[in-house]
Amino acid sequence: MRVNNQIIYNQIIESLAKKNVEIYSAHEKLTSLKNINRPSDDVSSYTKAANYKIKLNNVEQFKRNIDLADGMLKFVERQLNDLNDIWDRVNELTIMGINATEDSTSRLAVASELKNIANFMLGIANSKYEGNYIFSGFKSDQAPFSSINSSYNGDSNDILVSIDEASYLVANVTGDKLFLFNGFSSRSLITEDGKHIYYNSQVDGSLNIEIRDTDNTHVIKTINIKSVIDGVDKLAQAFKNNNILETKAIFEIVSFAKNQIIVSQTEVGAKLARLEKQYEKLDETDLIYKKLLSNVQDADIAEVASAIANIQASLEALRLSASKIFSQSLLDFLR
Amino acid sequence: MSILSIFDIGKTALLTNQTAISVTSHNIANVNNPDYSRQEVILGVKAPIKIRGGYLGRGSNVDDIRRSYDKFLTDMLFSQESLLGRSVILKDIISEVEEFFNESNREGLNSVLNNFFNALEDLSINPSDMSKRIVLINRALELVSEFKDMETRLEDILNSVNNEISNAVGKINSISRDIAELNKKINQLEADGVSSANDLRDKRDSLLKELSKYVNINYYESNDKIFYVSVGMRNIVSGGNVSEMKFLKSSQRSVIKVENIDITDRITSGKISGLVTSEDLIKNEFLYKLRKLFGGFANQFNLIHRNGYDLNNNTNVNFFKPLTNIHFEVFSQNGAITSLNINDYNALKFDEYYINIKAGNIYEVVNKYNNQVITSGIYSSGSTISFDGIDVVISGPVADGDSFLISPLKLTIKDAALNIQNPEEIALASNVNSPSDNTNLLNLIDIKENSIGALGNKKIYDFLHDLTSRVGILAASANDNLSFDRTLYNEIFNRKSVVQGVNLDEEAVNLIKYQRAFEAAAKVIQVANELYETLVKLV
Repeated sequence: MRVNNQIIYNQIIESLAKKNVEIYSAHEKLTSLKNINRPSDDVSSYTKAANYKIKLNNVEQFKRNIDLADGMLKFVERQLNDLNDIWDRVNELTIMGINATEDSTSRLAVASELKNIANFMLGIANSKYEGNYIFSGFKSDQAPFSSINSSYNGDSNDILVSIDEASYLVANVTGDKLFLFNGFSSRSLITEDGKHIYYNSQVDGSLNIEIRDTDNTHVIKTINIKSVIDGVDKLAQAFKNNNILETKAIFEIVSFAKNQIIVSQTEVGAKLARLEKQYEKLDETDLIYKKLLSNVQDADIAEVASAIANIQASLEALRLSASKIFSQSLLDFLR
Repeated sequence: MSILSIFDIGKTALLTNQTAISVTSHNIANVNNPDYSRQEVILGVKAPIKIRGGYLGRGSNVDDIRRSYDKFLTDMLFSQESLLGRSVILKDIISEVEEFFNESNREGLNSVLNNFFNALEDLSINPSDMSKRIVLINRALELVSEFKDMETRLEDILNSVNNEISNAVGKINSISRDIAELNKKINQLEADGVSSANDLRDKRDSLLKELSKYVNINYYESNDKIFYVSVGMRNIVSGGNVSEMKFLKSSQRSVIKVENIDITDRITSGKISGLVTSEDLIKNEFLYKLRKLFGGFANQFNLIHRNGYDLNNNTNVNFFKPLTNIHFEVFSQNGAITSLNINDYNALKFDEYYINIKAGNIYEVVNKYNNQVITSGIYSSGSTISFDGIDVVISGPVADGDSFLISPLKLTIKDAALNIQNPEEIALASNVNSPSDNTNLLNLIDIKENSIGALGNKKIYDFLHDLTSRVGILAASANDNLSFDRTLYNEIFNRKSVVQGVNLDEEAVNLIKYQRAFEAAAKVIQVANELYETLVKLV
């Protein structure tokens, strides 16, 4: 082979260029701390990384959803606790009021406290979370109850929040479960003095109480209770009127209402526990995907640094040999 | 014989060696010119004279100054130059496109889609939250503008590609003219049939090499010394004449013509080929898929959004401005499109179609990208042709070979905007009067998990990742091809250099060799002179 100047120069330039590309890409890895800086560096890893990033984004979003649902359910839980306490007090007051030893004056006091309690319940039922009536279902711009005696304005729809790729969690409790009589099984009972009382829950969630005389045909009174709040108010009314028969008839709703609260409390408690678990699980998932992402896209600094040192050494060798070759010419020896 | 003849021999030796030194110097002077072919002096013996006792030499002369030239390697270098030219362009352009899709170190389509869906999901617990609704609208605006930016960037490249093709064609024509001029000069100089215009031939080779960068060429010299250069089987240079190459820009694809014959498909390498290929990739792959992605996504979002109720109990409202403007192009003398509408947004596929008219008044609707026939029938002027949710009415007499391009794709991103103005208009509920109803919102979020018909039954993110991977694969192979072609080029160049290149050491040796011979020749003349003087003194 007839080697000549052009070939030598080209070879040196080409080798220098190659080394420079190598050192540039190593340096890029070092500054970005990433192994893959563009799709063409490694298409399959880049796509994997993109998918991991979406998974991570989803995990972040689920965690945010959980935070939001958690805040809402904790608020509901507080209201339920208040309701639970207050039903205990209603129970106490009613039993006290029904007691034969009480007179009409003390029953008036019971009546006025019950009236207050009904108002307090109305307040809880109409409580707002972030500007929305929390117990109205989807119709959160409307108060569930416009007054103590009004019927339910909300609906029974669940607000679903996704907490992972496959499942939703109901983040609200609708007022119908807490304040209406949908679950009240129709029944009848006979009082100590032989009166018959019939309970019939209605389609609209209200409750009809029919008090019949001892003959079980003559209807003494029919009471329509729109909601448990209305029930407490009617109870107060009965005490005010010193009508023990009526108070006894209405008293039946107290244990039902309290039970409804307890069921919801249990549900909410279980949900909060589930959210906590799910959050932990998402933290783990997050960690797994971060690790996977790091595996495909992060540069091994030690490796890159040693690669740079290697390239540098060969670059120096190349420069040295180049300078040696350049200084070699016959012309130098012709003097 | 006489003493004077010794002078003559000395003189020829002086001249020959002087010429040899000139050629050597010429070689040294051109040592760094890659297109230069080393020249060599071919020495000859001057015809001897007959004397008694034999023939007596009369000295030397220069028979030829020959160029070390290997036609095979030169041809290979030219074709490699073309391949390299194509690789360089493809690498440059695809790398640029790749950077647009590259989200390693910046936010891109993935991020805006994520942000959009996140903003939607943030509303799930409280769909009536105004501030979050405003965030969602802003995220949607960002999404639209990111798609528009991407489209603009790709179209900018497309424009510069078109400009470059036009420049390249101009350059090719100017090189062709230079070659034609050189052809004339070479023919003049070589008219004697003996001498060879070495340096002009080198210059012409250098022009051919330059030309090869732009386009793959063929060239040959006929027996009657006419030099031809052809591209795609059409001569662009025939001796001293030039046939200009022409570039026709078109919305579909660029066309290169020589003598009014389309040679685009016959250009397989060189810058022009790289540019035409890039144009095709950008138009028919990157822009096509980008527009399809946005169109498919926005349309699907609208379809579901329309099912929902907003805070004012309105329903059947689009979130994004729906596509209404369908782009079309008519390639027909007398036929015209008189009406073009979308009749069913559910069936819309976001593709491009040709309605081709065939012999016997038959029309055929063909998908431009996979050439699948979607529907066909007998053409009758003014009647509606329906396919993939689109109604087209073509009127007028059409002829066999006419075609109409229908593109519900071209303006999808250009016309994109939000249809809703106010945050309360986002329809997240499935029931009226239900501000906390997030049913439709959950359906909207599901879009990202469901496959979309218009996207070839792919999910949005999968479609986007497929597109990015495709860009990545193309960029990686463009990189590989470039480094392969460059290595091969250097290899061939070196092989050619082995024959044609100048070696300074060699030339230094030659220099000394001819210098010594020159000195000796001078000595011969001196000796002859002394002999002559001796004779003169005798008298």
